[in-house]
Amino acid sequence: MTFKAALLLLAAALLQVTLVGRLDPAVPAPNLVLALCAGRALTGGARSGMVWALVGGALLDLAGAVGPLGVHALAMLGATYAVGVVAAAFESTRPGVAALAGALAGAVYGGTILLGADTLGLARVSPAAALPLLAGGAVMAGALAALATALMRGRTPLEVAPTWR
Amino acid sequence: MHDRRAQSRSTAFFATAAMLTALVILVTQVPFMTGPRAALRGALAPLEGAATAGEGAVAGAASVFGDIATLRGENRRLAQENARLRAQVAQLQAAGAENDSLRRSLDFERSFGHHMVTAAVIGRGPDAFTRSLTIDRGAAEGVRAGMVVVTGSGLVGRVREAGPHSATVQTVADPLIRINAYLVKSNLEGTVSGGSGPLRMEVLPRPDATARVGEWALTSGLGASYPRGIPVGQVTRYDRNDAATSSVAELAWATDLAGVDEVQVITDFQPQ
Repeated sequence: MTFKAALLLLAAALLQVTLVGRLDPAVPAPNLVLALCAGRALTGGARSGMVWALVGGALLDLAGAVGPLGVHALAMLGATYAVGVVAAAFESTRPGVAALAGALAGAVYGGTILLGADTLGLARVSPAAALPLLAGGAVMAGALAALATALMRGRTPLEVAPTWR
Repeated sequence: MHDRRAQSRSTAFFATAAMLTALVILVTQVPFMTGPRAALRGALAPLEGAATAGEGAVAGAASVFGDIATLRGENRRLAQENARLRAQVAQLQAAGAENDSLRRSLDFERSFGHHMVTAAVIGRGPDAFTRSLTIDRGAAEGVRAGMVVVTGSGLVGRVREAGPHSATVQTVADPLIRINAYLVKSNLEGTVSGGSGPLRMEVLPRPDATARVGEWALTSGLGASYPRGIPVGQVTRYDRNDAATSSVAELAWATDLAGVDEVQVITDFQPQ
């Protein structure tokens, strides 16, 4: 991971806990760090994406989450691995595939956070309240992942097929 | 073949990283790690404060070009709401009910009678389920885990962790929060549950009383978890159910957590 990438993730994490945190809680909040990690996994390979996920998730853990450290890092790691699975299955980084991979990543991320919060006694959310949040988060993650991939793709060869690098 | 090897290497990387991260989670959740954990979280607090200040400056500059008509309408709405709140204060005074906590817009600390530390909100929790706040006051300023956090409008939540110069607040939006409260006019008691939507209050019914829309719910002080008299929310809906052991009221939050920039930490009340 380069210094510029670490700065980018830090900026995304700070925006996540300041600007994004002010949005109406009824609206699914965009996860900027997840979008960057998903985009990296699609354009730079799954392992590279997972390294970004560990760093980005750790920054979110430090920047105001409650409870033990590492929950967001673990959730981000699982989400990025899921992106790698989808990308390798379709062998493409087209917007549709990026959106699908991002949506799956959003669902995995949200589900891991919920499961972790419940297991660690941080929050107990009823299914009726959790499902709309998970679904909304997945849709938002899919859209942002497609955008992040399009922006990052300009910096890598166009015809690089996504692999398990 | 090459791709399969690469795939299994990536899977191995994921499994190893996941196990190590899970180990970090287990280690950092033990009680003696609370201090180091809070101190580590405080490492990013100066950057969060700077980011919040920058966000405020940008918002201030952008507001110059804002929609003047929208701002005028909002100003009128706020003026009407302020007048309604003042009328409510007058009603409570006349009725002799507890009203000190409703003077919040004037002089909250003097009327409320507790010692408080003012803190700026420098960050918000990154996920939609726990909904926490980060404030720029910590142990060095007298903030401790468990202390109650309020604004001039009402209850915000409780300090979860306190680092040297920052702290994390578990807000009323957290589904784990439980607050013993009472309704000011009907004097009905109940328990308020946290959540990201409207707050839900399970009310112990009485045959001679019924909750009314617009009625304020204040902390009752029962269980000594919160001081008595802090506004929690306002009844927006009440479903009376005489056949059940409790009825349910929905409350609009007293404090807009998305918009709060400054809070007060009550430092001389020790929750049980």
